[in-house]
Amino acid sequence: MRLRHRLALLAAAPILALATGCTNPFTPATPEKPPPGDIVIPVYSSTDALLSTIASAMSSRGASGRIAYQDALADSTGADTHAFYAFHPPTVVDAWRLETGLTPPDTWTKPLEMKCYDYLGQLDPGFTYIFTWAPDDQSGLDPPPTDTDAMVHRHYSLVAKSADGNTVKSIAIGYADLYMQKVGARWYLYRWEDRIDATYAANNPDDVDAVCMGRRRLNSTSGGL
Amino acid sequence: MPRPTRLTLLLVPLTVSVLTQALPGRAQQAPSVRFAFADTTLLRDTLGLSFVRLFPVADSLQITPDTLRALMIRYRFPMSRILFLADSIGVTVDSVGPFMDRQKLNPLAGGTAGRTTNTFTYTSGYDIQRTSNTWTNGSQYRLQRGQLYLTNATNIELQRILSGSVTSLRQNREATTEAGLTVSKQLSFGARSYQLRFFSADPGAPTQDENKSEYGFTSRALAGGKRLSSELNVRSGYLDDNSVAVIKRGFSGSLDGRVRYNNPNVLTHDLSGSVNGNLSHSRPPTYPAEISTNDLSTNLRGNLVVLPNSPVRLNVNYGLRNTRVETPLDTTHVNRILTRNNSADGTLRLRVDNDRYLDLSGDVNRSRSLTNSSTDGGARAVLRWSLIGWSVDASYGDSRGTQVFFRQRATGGYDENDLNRAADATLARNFGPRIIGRIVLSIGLDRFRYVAWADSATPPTPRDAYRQSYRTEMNYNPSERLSSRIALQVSLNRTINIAAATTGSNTDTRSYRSEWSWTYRLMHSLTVTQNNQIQADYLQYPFRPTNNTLSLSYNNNTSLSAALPGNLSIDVSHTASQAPRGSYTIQPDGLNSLQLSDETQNYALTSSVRYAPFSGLSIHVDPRYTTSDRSGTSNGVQAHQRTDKRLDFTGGVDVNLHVGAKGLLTGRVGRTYTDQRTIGYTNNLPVPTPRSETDYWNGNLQLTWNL
Repeated sequence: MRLRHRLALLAAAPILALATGCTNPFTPATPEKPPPGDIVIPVYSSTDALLSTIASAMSSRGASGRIAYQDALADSTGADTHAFYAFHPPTVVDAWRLETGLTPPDTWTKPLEMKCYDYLGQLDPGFTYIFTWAPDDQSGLDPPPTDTDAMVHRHYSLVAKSADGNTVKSIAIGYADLYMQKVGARWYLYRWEDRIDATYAANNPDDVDAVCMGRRRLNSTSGGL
Repeated sequence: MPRPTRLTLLLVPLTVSVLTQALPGRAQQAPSVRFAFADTTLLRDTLGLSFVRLFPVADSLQITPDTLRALMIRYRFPMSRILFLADSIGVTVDSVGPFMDRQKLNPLAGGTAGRTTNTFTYTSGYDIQRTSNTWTNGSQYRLQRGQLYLTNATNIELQRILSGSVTSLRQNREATTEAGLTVSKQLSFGARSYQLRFFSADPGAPTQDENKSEYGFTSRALAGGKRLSSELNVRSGYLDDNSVAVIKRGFSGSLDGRVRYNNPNVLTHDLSGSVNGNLSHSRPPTYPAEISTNDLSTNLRGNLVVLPNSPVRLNVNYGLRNTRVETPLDTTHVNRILTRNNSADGTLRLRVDNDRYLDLSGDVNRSRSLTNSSTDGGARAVLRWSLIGWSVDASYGDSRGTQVFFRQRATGGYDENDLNRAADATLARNFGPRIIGRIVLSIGLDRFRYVAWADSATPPTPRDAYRQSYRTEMNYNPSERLSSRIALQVSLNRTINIAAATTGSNTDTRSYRSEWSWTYRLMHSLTVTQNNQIQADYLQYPFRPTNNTLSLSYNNNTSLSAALPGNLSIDVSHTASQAPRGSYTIQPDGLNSLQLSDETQNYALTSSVRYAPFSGLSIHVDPRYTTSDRSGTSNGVQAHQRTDKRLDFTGGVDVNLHVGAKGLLTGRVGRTYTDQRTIGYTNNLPVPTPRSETDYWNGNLQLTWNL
C-alpha cells in the first residue's frame, strides 16, 4: 500500500514541479506590436469573407494588408490543391506588347501577383485606396457553388482618393471571373480571369488610368510602362 | 473586458436547478464514477447486438467506444466473439474482420485441407441517393475436394453520379480465380488468374480506362509449433496492364509472410512483411517503342510485447514501408515516384490493476513523398489512479515535427517546424450514493515556425495557438425516475501571430458555458428530457480593441419519448436557440459598452415515429420543421435580414430479413421530401424568393445468398 502511495506521489511530482515555479512549458510567444496604419483582419471562412478580405487588403497597402492578400491566394502544396494564376484579356496583352516591345510572362503566378501588389501600393502615395466589388451585370448567374468549389463573376474598382477628398483617381477597373477552392476550413482564390469594362472606357475616354487589373499586372513587370 | 457581474447571469439556471432537485425518491445505486458521463446513446440495441460493458471493454482495449461498436456492427460479431477471435488469432480488435475476410479464400485456413467443402456466397446491393446510384454484385466461391481446391472472388461496382445535367460513370470489375492442390495441411500450390477492368468517365477529368490481367502461380505454406508459427505466400507470373496513361507488360510477383512467437509469460512478437513488384516493358499508349520499368513495394510491420502479463509491460510497434512506381514519359524518360513511411512507437505500462497504471510512450515517424517530407516524434505520459476517493485520469504529451514543402513552379520551398504540447486531467468521485462530481482541466500549446529557402518562398506566418479550459459537472440521481446534471465550463483560446504585420488579427476568445439537463420518467413508458445551455463568447483583439465582440447563445431542447405497446415508439423534440451578437463601442459618457448588432433565432420541431411489426422490419416516419430568423444592423438601425422556413419529411423501411434458409436481405429504403422558402428583407420590406422543393428516393438494399 505504501508503495502505491509512493508511486502516486512520484506521478504527481511533475505536476507539482510545474505549479511551483519551473518554467511554464505552455507559455506562448510574445507577439510583436503591429505597425501603425490600417490593420486588415483576414477572414477566409466563406467566399464572401474571402472577397471582402481581398478588398480590404487591396485598400490597405500596409504590411498586414500584404499578408492578408498573400494568404488569400492559393498556393499549391499537393496534387489536390490549386496554385494561383491570373489571366489577362488577350487584347490587353497584345496592346501592352505593342507599346512596350516586351514579352509578357508565360503564366501569372503568385510571386508575380505579390510584386504587382507592391507596385500598386506605390502608385499614389498620400492617397487613400478604396477597392470595391460589385455585381457583374454583363455575365449570367454565378454557377451554383459546391462544398469545396465556387466561381463568381464580379465587377471591381480600385480608386485613389486624396486626403482632402477632392481628387479621386481610378487605378484599375474591370470585371473578373473568380475561382475559389475550399481547403480544410478556409477558402482560397486560385484563378482570376480578367475582363475589360468596355462601358466605363467608352464613357470616360479621357481617363487614361482607367485600365483593368490585367494591364496593371503587366505594367508592374515593366516598371510602370 | 467582460465584467464579472455579467457572469452572475450564468448562475441563475444553476441555482434554479439545485432548488428544483429536492424531489423524494428511492435511492439507487450510483453509476460507476469513471463512466458516469459516457454517451449512453451508443448503448442502443442495433441488429440484435448487445453493447453491455461497451465502455469498460473499449477502455481496456484503448480504443474509442464508437469504434468498437462500429466494428461489431460492420462484421456482425457480438462483443465476446470479437474479443475471443482477436485473442486466438493474435491480432488487434480492428484487424479481426479483415483477417476473417481474407481467410475465407485461403485453402489452408481452418484445417479444411483434405475435406470436401463447397460454398458459394452471392451478394447484390443497390444504393440510391439524390445524385448518385451504385449497383454492386459480388460472389465468393470455394470448392475443396480431397487435395484439390478452386476459389473465385468476383466484385462488380457500377456507379452513376449526376452533377447538374452531367452524368459521370465509374465502373470497377475484378475477378480472382485460383485452382490448385493442397499437398498437406501446411502446403499448397496453385495457378491464379486476376482480371481488372476500371472505367471512369467524368466530364471534368480525363477518361480512365484500364484493363489489367495477371496469370501466375501461387504457393502457400504454414508452419506451427507451440510457440512459433509462421506462414508464407508466394505469387508470380505474367502481367498485362493496359491503361490510358501507360501500357505495361512483364513479370510480376509478390511475397508476403508472417512470423509469430508467443511465449505468454515472457514475450510475443508478430512480424509480417510483404514485397510486391514487377519487371516490365512499358510505353505510353501513343509511343511505339517500349522501355524497361520496374515497380517495387516493400512493407514490414512488427509488434513486440514484453512481459505481457506482468505489472511492468512493454509494447513496441514498428513499420517500414517503401514504394517505387515507374511510368514512362516517352521512349527514353521514366517518371519515378518514391514514397517512404517509417514509424515506430513504444509504450511502457506500469500497472497495478485496470484502474491504477502509468503509461510512458514515445513515437517516431518519418515520411517522404513527391511534394513534401516530414519527420516527427513525441512522448506522452498517461496516469490513471485512485486517490483519496477521487478517480484521476491525467496525461501530458509533447511532440515536435518538421515538414519540408518542396515548392514547384520556380518558387522556393520552406520548412515548417511545429511543436504540440498538451496536458489534461479529469477527476471524478462519488459524493454519497446520489451525486457524482467531475472536474476536467486541460491546457495546450501549438507552435508553428517557418524557415524559407529563398526569397520567392511564401510560407505562412509564424504563430502560436494556446488553449486552456476547465469544466465542472455534477450528476444528481435521486431516484431511478429522475436524473439531473449541471455543468460550468470556462475556456480561453488565443490565436497569436508573431510577426508585426499579422498581429492585428490576433484574438483571445473567452467562453463561459453553463448547462443544465434533466430526465424524468413521467409514466412507465413516457420520459421527458430537457437540456438548457447558456454561452457567452468574448472575442477580443489585443491590438485592435475596437473590433471586440460578444456573442451570446441560449439553447433549449425538450424531448418526449414514448415506448408504446406493440413495438411502437414516438419521440417528439422541440429546440429553441437564440444568439444575439454585438460589439463594444465607447459611449458619450466614456464607458465601453455592448451594442447589439445582429441576432439569430432558430426553432425546430422534430418527431420520429417508429413501428416494428416483427423482428427484422422497422417502419419509420420523421417529419421536421425548422424556422430561422436573422436580424442585423443597417445604418445604425436594427432590421430584419432573412427568414428561412423549411420542412423535411423522411419516411422509410429498415429491413434485416432472412430470405429462406440461406438468404439475408438488409438495408433501408426511404423517401425524402424537402420544402424550403427564404424571405429576404429590403428596407424592412419582405422579398420572398421562389420556393425550393426536392423529393427523391434514397436507401440501399443488399441481398446475400449462401449455398
